[in-house]
Amino acid sequence: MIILYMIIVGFAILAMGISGIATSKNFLVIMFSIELIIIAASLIGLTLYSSYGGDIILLLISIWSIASVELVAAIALYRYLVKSGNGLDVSKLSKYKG
Amino acid sequence: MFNLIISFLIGVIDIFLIIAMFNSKEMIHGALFLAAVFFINAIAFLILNQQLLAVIQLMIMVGGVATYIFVSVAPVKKPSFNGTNMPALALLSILIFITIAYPLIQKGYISNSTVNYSFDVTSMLNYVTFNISIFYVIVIMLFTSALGAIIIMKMPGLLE
Repeated sequence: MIILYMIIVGFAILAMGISGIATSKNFLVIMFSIELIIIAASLIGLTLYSSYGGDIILLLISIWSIASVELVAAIALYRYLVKSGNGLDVSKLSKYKG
Repeated sequence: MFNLIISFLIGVIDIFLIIAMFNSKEMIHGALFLAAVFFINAIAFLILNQQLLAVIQLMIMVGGVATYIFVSVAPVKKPSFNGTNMPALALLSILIFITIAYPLIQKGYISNSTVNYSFDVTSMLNYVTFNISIFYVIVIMLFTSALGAIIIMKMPGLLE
């Protein structure tokens, strides 16, 4: 029952993360939503692997590597947004469309 | 039954913290709510008897969230707008949750597990061995020093 409940919580966090990306205009809120998706992925993966058996550590290391790369990309994008003078509103980026 | 109540509380607190994160006007508050979500998730890892992975989760929390906090504090012009459409967020979250969760739960893929978790609060401290507890102390010190650096940054006239 705990396993089922943890997976439901993971699904709820995943749904809120995806919805946060779709409905937010603030760059930082979008990055927070991506972190939520990573949290949900690690929680669901750990719950499933620990219930059915198997080695979870490689999967989690790969998820956390993606999280760190995402952070580096976030800093680069943040610098670009600040230099372009638009603040953190990603909806204003459409004027740079090529 | 007691284990189920603990898990239920963790899930409810997690969801409320995420809602507060989306609803916060100041981005630094949102980053702190995200740190709390990481912390609650680490407790969920402890419930699943994975104390080392819980520590690694907290390490990532220190690295990631501290960076986000610095980014949200650093700009001279504060990003005070939120920009999240909350009704759309709620509706889309419920739709995506039902879409993902309903088929898996209905077909019984998840409830066939045979593992029985013998978690209770009194034995929780036994899971945290001495070597692991050192890492917990390191994580707490790192995050506290990051927050202290932010407080120093925010003090008027100190860095000028």
